[in-house]
Amino acid sequence: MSSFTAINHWMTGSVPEAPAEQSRHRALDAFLGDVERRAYVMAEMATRDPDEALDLVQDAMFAFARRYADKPQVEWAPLFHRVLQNRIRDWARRQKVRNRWRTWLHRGEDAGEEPLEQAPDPAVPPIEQQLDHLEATERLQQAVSELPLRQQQAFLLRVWEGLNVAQTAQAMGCSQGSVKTHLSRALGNLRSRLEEYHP
Amino acid sequence: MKNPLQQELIEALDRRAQDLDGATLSRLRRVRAEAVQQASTRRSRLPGGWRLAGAGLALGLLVAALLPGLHQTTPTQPVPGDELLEVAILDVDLEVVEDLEFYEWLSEQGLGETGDEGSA
Repeated sequence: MSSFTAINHWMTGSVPEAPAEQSRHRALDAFLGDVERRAYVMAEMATRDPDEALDLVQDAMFAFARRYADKPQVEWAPLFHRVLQNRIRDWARRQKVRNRWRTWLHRGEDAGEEPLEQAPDPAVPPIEQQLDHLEATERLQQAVSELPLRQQQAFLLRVWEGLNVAQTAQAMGCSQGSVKTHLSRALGNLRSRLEEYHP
Repeated sequence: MKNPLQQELIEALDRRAQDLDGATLSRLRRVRAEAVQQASTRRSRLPGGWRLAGAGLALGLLVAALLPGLHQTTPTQPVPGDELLEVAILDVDLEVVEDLEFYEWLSEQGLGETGDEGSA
């Protein structure tokens, strides 16, 4: 490379990518491509909102690429899930506060409504009846999405994503003992929710 | 080893991940490309502010390395010729200085001899 080119790169701040860098970026692209669908499903199960889920996955991917792309590739999976799960938890906390305010603000309005208006819509079938109409796959997915957040995270990371206990603990930001507890409760919950279909 | 229920749950989740709609997949692809681009940019390009800060730091270190040398008032090792410089600056007669050094040497020798004699 000529000295002029080197000076030009310094002035413009751009540096030509080395082959090792190119290979690393291809690996990063492959990793994110492999994990993106499952990451989206996890976020959607937690939020039950496709737009929120996409926003969370986007934030997680950007933050992961900025902070952890230099880390060894064997650490990528737990680190990525840690970023994603942190964002999901932050979202859940914000929702909790928002719902508290919403409940408090609408308390007065609800008090004035007719009891008939608060009754369930007869046009909408009760939840049990709705469940009957769901396909088996949807029923299973719904059971997972209805788990409490920490149990859901433990189940999805450990059983679906295939992380080991230590990696799951790293991703969830808790001890390995807590992972085992959350997972055990998740499996118990799933069994009891689905026992009529899986005696 | 996963039990049948777990296996069924995994398959159900896999199906859900595979059946994502086109719009979602398209956005995921865009996000991924942007994330990889961010990682690439971050490594190959230092922000202008950081480059300026780096240059400033290097200049600061250079000044810090040179500054003590410029302001050193008490040399740790006597350097030959320093006395002459001092004499020249103070404008003192060289003979007086030589005499003083001689008397200093003489007193050191004399004291040593006296001490030895006293102890003998």
